Amino acid sequence: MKSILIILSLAITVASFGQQDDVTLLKNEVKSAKDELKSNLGSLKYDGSKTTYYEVRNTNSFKDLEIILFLRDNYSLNFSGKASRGKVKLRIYDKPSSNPDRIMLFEVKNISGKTSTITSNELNQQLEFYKENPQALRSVYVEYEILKGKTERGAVVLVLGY
Amino acid sequence: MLPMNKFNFIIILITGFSLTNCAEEEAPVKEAPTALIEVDTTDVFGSDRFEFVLPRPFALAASFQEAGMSYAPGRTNPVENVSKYMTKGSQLINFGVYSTDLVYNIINDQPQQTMLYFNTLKELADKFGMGSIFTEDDLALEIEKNISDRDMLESLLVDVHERSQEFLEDNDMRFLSTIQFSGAWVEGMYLASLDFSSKDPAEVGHKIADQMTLVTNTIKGLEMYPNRDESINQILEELKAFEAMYANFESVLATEGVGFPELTKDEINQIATKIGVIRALIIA
Repeated sequence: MKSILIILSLAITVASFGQQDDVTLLKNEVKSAKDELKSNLGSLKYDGSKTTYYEVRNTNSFKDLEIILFLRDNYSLNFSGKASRGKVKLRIYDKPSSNPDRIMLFEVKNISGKTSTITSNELNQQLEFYKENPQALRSVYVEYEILKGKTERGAVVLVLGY
Repeated sequence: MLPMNKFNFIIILITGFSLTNCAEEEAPVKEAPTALIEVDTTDVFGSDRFEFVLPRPFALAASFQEAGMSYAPGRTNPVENVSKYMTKGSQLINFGVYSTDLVYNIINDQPQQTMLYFNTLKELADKFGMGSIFTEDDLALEIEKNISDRDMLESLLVDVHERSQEFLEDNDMRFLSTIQFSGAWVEGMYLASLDFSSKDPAEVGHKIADQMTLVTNTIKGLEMYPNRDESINQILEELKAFEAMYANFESVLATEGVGFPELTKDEINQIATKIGVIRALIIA
């Protein structure tokens, strides 16, 4: 009985350390992705960031993120998938996922391993393409679709500049 | 190493506990529950289905400044109040209040008040164990050195904000950043509301309509936090009442959800009064 308990304790400890290592690695990747995006801002001012963490599962899953745009004249939205795992589609809409009439304004087929940038002015122009005299976007809604795959944790980093 | 599925892990633990119970006398295992807690902490790194980007106090203040917020001494939460905040909820929400007060002093070129509010923020951060964000890389010293340089201060306060968000995230207190934000937002609205009566209602109304997006998100964020104490619950209810009051204004109903409402003077006064009540509740 003692040996079973020792084996169990060891398994628990090893699993726990394993997860901690994964988390530490992910955190370091997130930090370096964020630093890279911040340094790419150039003359723009940094205005915050948001990291969306996810777990790749055996079914597709979604994460939504609302970005408020009215506080600044023109926001630069900078995404990094350098800490991403699996395949992650990125889409930006004018309305939340609860609204069936929402319009997709921007899409990246797979952000994993890449970076991508779009400004709120460009998103407004895109909206004008679909709608006549639309009201300027006050918020946009980012949707990350995490495609099914091997179970692992990942993250997409967003850095805002203005 | 492949990450272990949490469900499997719990099964192993349960099995472990069962076996331990069978063999209670010969091998009591006390370490197992700690291991379970350690594994749970990794869930900090799983974001919610829906989240929103919390604006920084500087962006908020800039927006309120555009709405015509002017400076007058004595409008901010007195620094002496810091000793009253004994619960984690009141400390966090007033950390947000003092963050806005700090920015309010910076953008209005008040170096002495800036220093005073910065030290108050530090004191409050120490109370809930976040003081380390100011000691790292001599951040506090850098801020003191640049107390009259608005651009430099803005950049340094970005660091303070980032570090406070990272601290909350790393310590499984992600939800608490919304509490902090709600304090910052209410204080900004309060400071701006003191000038509402002297401004053009059309312009003020437009800015208020914008800000209402943030109150909706603040409510969502506070609702998602499961361990709300009584004071936070009370603030949440007041914010909901405030949102409902706004939604039922005739001018807002008239828009039918499209465009900006033409708020009347009376409606703007009601907003200012209600914000004053919520703010008084927070800083009490």
